[in-house]
Amino acid sequence: MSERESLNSQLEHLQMRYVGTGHADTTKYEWLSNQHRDTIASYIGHPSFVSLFAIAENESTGRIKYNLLNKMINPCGPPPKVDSTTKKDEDEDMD
Amino acid sequence: MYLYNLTLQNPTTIYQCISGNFSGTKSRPEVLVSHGRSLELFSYDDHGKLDSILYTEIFGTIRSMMPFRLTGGNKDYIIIGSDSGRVVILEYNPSKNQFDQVHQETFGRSGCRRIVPGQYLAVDPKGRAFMIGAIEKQKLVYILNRDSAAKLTISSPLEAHKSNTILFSMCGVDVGFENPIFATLSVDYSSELTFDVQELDSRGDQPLDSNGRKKMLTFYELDLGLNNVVRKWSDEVDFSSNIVMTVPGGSEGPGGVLICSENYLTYRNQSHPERRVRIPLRQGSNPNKGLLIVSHALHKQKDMFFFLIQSEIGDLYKVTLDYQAENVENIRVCYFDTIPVSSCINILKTGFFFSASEFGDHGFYYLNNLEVDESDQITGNDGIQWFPQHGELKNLLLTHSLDSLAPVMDFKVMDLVREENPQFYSLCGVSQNSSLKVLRHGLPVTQFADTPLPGVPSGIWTVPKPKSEMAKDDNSQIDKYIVVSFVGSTLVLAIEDEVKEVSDSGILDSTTTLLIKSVGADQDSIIQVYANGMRHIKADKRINEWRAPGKKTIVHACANQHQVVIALTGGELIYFEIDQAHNLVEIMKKDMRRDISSIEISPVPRGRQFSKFLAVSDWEGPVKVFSLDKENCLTQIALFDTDRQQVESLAMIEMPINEAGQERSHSTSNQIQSSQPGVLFLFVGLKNGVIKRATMDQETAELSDFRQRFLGRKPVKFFKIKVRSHSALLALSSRVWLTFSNQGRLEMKPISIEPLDNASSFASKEYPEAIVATSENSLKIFNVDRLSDLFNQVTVPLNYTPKRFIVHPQTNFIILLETETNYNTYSLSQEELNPVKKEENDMDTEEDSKDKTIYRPKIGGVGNWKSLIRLLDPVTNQTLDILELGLNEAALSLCTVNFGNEGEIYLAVGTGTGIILNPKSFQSASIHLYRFTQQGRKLELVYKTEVEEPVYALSSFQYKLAAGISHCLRIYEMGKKKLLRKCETKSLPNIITNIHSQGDRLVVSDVQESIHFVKYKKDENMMYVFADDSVPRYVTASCVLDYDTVAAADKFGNIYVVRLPLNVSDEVEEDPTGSKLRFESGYLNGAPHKLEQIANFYVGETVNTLCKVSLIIGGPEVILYTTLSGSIGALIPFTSREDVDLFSSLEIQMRQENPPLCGRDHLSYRSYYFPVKNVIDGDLCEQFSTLDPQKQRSISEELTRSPQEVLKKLQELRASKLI
Repeated sequence: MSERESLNSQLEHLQMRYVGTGHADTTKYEWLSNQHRDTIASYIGHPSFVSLFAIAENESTGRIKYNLLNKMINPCGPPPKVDSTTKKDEDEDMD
Repeated sequence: MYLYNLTLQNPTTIYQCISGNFSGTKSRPEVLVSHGRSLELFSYDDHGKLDSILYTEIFGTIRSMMPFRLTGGNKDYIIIGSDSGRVVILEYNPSKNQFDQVHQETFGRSGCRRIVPGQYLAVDPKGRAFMIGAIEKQKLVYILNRDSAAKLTISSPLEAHKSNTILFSMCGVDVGFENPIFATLSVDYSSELTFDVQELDSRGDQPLDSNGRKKMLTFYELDLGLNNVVRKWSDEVDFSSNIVMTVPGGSEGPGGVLICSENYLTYRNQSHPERRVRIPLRQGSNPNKGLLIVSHALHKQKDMFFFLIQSEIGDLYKVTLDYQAENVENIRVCYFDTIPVSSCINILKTGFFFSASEFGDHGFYYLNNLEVDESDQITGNDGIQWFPQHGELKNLLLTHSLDSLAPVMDFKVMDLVREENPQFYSLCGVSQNSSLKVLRHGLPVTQFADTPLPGVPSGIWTVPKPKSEMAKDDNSQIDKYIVVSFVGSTLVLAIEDEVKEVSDSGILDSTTTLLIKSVGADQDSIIQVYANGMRHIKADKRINEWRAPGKKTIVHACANQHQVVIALTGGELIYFEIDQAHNLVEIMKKDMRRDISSIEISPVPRGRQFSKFLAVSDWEGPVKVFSLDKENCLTQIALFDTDRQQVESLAMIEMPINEAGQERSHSTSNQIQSSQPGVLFLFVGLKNGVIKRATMDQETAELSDFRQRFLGRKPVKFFKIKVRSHSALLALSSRVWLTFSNQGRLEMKPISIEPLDNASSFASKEYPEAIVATSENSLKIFNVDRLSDLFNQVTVPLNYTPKRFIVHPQTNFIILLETETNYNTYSLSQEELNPVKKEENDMDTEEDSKDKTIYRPKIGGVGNWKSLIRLLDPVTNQTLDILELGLNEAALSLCTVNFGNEGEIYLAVGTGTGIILNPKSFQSASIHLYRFTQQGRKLELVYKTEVEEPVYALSSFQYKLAAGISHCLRIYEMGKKKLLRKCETKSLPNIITNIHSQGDRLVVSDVQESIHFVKYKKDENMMYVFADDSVPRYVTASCVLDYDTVAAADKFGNIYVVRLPLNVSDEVEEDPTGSKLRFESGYLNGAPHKLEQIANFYVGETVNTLCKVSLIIGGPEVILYTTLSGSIGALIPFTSREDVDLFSSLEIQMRQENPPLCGRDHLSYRSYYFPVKNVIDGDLCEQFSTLDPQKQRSISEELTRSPQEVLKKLQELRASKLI
C-alpha cells in the first residue's frame, strides 16, 4: 500500500515538474495539445526552423514566431465540450 | 564508410546581435552576432567597415544573447541562453582572442524544450541581475555581483515560475538603483479560464482570441534584501502584443516599458495611465491587416534617448517620448527609413547602426540624420497616418554590407564557364532580395587602376616616402615612387596627385633593375641593384656606385634595411652592410661554386640592427641557410631539403601566429603589441608550382614543421606585402595566393585576379595596404580588404524567391524557377487600399525604376502565387528569356528531358495553381512542356498536361518523364497533344519531393518518409517500391552516391547516408519477372526490404541541398551541403583506417579537453535527433589549433604524435580534399 502511495506521489511530483506528463485520465485532447505545444516550442527554439517557415510562407520571421506562440495557446482549438455524447464518441474511438 | 565533417563557408545569417564594449578597452564598442550555432565578433574602423575578429563554433544552438555591465565597470559580459539547459556567462579575452567562460549554471535538461529556460533573456539595466525564461512556465532570476577580488559572481537561481502561461517577450525595467524589476508579456492558457459568450460581447472591440484569453503584462520584482522574486503588478494589454521594451528610467528617463502590438505602440508603467499611439502606415499597405514590429533598438545618451523599431515590411520608425519626470505625455512615432527586414537591430554608442537581415546581406549604417522630417506623414480620413516610402535612404548611410548567402535555396558546383576550377552556383534570398550568386574560390579584390605599360616588365618595386619629407606628426607610411624595370631600361613613377614619370630620383634608368630597396634607419636612401653593379642613392641625392668585379654580373640580390646580399654569376655571394655613417661596406665574400637560383635575407628582428640569416638555393641542391653573425659569417647552419626540385624563389617572413606550440601573441587585427615576437617562416617556391614552408627558430635557425602545397602550374614567385600592418606573402603561380595571419593562424588563400608576373606593396593615403602588380604589359593597383571571405561573389538579381535550377545539358544555360507565395497579385487592390490617390501613381512609377530599393508589402495572403521560368546565360550572366506563369500558378519542379525523338531536349515544369500549404488545398495542377528555340535561347510552350495534384518532383528517366504527383509516381511519354501516362505506382506515402533515376531504378524521397527505392520493369511496364527506410525522415535534399547508396538531409538538420543491403541489391537485379518482389510485402504496409543507415550527423541548421562533387581537379569526391543559414559544408570520406582511428581519438580528446563554449555536450549535440554514426566532426578537431600549447601537447601525447604533426594532418585534410 505504502509503495503504491509513494509511486503516486512520485508521479504527481513528475506531473508538477514536467509539464505534459500524462496520467491515467489524460484525454486525447490534452495529450494532443501537449504534443503540439512541445513541437512548436522546439520550432521556436531552433532559429533555422523559423526561417524555414518564413520562406515557405513568405512572411517575416518575427511574424512566424508570433504566430507560433499564439498557436501554442490553443494548438488544437477550443477544448471539446464535456457532455455525455462526446464522451461516448471518444469511448467509441478508443474501441 | 567514415565521413569527416568540415565547414567550408561559415553560416552567414544572423539571428541575434548585441553590441557592447566586450574587450574592455576604451576603443569603440564591438558587435557580437550569433549565427545560431556559432558566435562572431566584429570590430569596425572610422569609415564603418566591419572586420571579423573572432569566429567560434559553440556546438549548440544559441537562442538568446544579452550584454551586461556591472555598475562602475567598463567591460561588457555576455549572457547566453542556449539549448544546453544551462546559462553561460562569457567574457571576451582580447589578449588571447577568445571567449572565456566565466560562469556556467545548470538548470534543466538539454534541448529546445518548452519549459526549460533559454529562449528569453532580460537584464537589469544596471547589471545587477538577469532573468532567463522558457516559452512556458519557467523563469529564473540570477543575481550578479562582484566579490572582493572584483570577479563576477552569480547567485543561485530564484524562481518566478507560473504554470500554464506562454511567454511572448520580456525585458528588464529601468528603475535606477531600486529593486530590479523584470517585465513579461504572457498568456495564461489554463482551461479554467474560459469566458461565457455574454462576457465576450460586453468586451466590445477589444481584440481577443477565440477563447477569450488575455495577454498580461506582469512586473516581477527581485527583492535584493529578502532575496526573492515576487509578482508585483499585472495588467491586461492588447492581445496582439509581441514585444516589450525597456524605457530608460532613474535619472535618464521616465522608466516603465513600451509595448509593441499590431498597429499600436503603448507605454505602460505601474500606477501610470496607458499611452497609446497608432503606428503610421506606408502608403499601399493594408490597414486592416495588423502591422507587427519585429525588431527594436534603444539609443541612450546623457540627455536624450530614442528607439528605432522595424516593422515586418521593413520600415524603420523613430520613437521618442514626451515626458516630464516620470510622467509620459505622448509617444511620437515617425517614419525613419526602409531597409531589409531584420531579425535584430542594434544602435552603437558611436552613432553606427547594425541591422542583421533575416535573409540576405546585413547592413552596417551610420545614423547621419536624427532630426526626422515629419511633414511627409499625411493623416488619412480614418485617422491613420500615412507616409510614402523613401526611394533611397534618407537618414541612414550604408557604410558596409556583410555578404550573406542565406538562405541557400538551391546549389550546384559546376564549371559552366570553363575556368579550370568549378564555380559554385547558388540561389539565394527571398522575395525582392533574391539572387543567383556565383561563387569562385578566392579573396575578392577592389581594383583601382589598370594601365598599359610600354613593355613587359621584369620587376616592380615601391619606394616609401622618407620620414624627412613627411609632416612631423604623420606616422603613416606612404610610397613615393613606383619603379618598373624592363629589359634594358627602368621606369620611375612618382606618386603624387597623379602618377607621372620622373628622372630626378637618382635611379639609373638605362638598365634592367634587379632590386630596389629603401635602406637606412629612416629608410631615406635607396639601393638599386642591376646587372653590372649597385647604386646607393642617399637622402641628399648623392650617389655611391659599386661595380661588379671583372666580367661577372649580378644575377640575384636581396636586402633589408641594413644589409644587402648579391649573387654573381658563377655562384659568388657578396655581403654588404650599411654602417653608422650610412655607407655601404662590403663585409664578406663566399664562393658557392654553383650558379645560384635565389637568395633571401631574413627580416631584421625587432630591437636589433642586423638580421642573422641568409637563405640560398642553387639549381640542384637543397636550400642552405647561412649565418650572418660577425663570428661565423656565411657559414652554413641549416638545410631545407627540396627533394631535388628546382627552387624558383625564397622568402623569409615573420608573422604573428599562435599555432604550432608557439607562445601566444596578440592577434587581434589592430591591437598587435609591437613587442610581441612573431614566428619566422621560410618559404620555398619550386619550379613545379609547389610551395614548401618551414618554421625557423629565431636564434638557431633550426627548421621544423615542414608543410607543402601545390599552388598552380607555373613556378612559384614570392613578393612581400603588408596585410593588416603585418608582413604577408604573395605567392604567384598560375593563380595568385596570399599567405597572411588571420585570427592568429597562418592562412593561405587564392586571390580572385588574373595571373600576375610581379607585385609589390603599395601604400597611399587612401589605400594604405594596396598591391601594385604587373600582368603581361599592364600595371594594376588593387586592394584585398575582405580577408575573412572565402569566396568572391558575382550576384545576378532575381525577381521572386528562387526555387530550383538546372543546367541545360547541351548549351549549359541555367534554367531557374522563381516562385513566390503570399504575393500581391491584384494590382487593383493596392489602389483601393490607398487613401492618398495622387501619391499612389507616383509610387507606381517609382516602383518600376527602383525595383531594388522599394520593399513590397506582403499583403497577398495565402493561395496567391507569382512565378516565372528564367533562362540565363552563365557566361554573361544575362537573362535570355523569362516566361511568367499564370495567375496564382506556382512553378514547383523542373527537369530537362529527352524523349528520344532526334535527341531534342525539352523542358518540363511541374506546377500547381492556388496552392494553400496548411491545410493543404489547391485549385489545379499541370505539367508544362517547353521546347528550346533559337539555339536554346528562347522557350516555347509545347503544351500543358493537366494532372490531379501539384507536381513537386520531375526527372527524366529512360527517354521518358518521371513525375511525382503528390504520392503518385508516374511515367509519361510524349504525345501529340499532351503527355501520355505509361505507368504509375501509388504506393508512396505522402508527397514525392525528389526523384533520381539510375538504370531502371528510381530513388524517390518522400516529404515525411525518407528514401524509397523503386524498380521499373520495362517488359511488364510496371513499377514497385522494393526498399524503404525504417525511420521517418522529413527529406529536404537527397543525392545519389552510388548505385545502392543515397545521402539525404532532413529538415531538422540531419544528414544521413542509407545503403541498400548487398544481397537485396543482387536479388532485385536477378529477379527477371519481378513477381517475387512485386507481391512480397513488408510489415505495416512498408516495402519488403529496408535500407541500412550507414552514417548520420546533425549539422545544426536545416540542410537544403546536397551534392557530390570533386572540388580539386582529380581530387576525391566529397558530399557538399548547404544550409538555410547560408553555410556550405562538406562530408569527406576517409580513405584509410589509420586516419579514421587518429581523428576519432582526436575527436574524443577534444570533447574532453575542449568542451563546447555554451555548455552543450558535443556528442549529444551531434546526436540531436538520431545518434551520430560514422561521422567525425572536423569543426571540433580543427579547434585544436586554438587551444593553448599545453593542452595541445597533452592531447597530442595521447595520440602519440607531436602537436605540429596533428596540426599538419588537420591542415592537409582540408587542403587536399577541399579548397
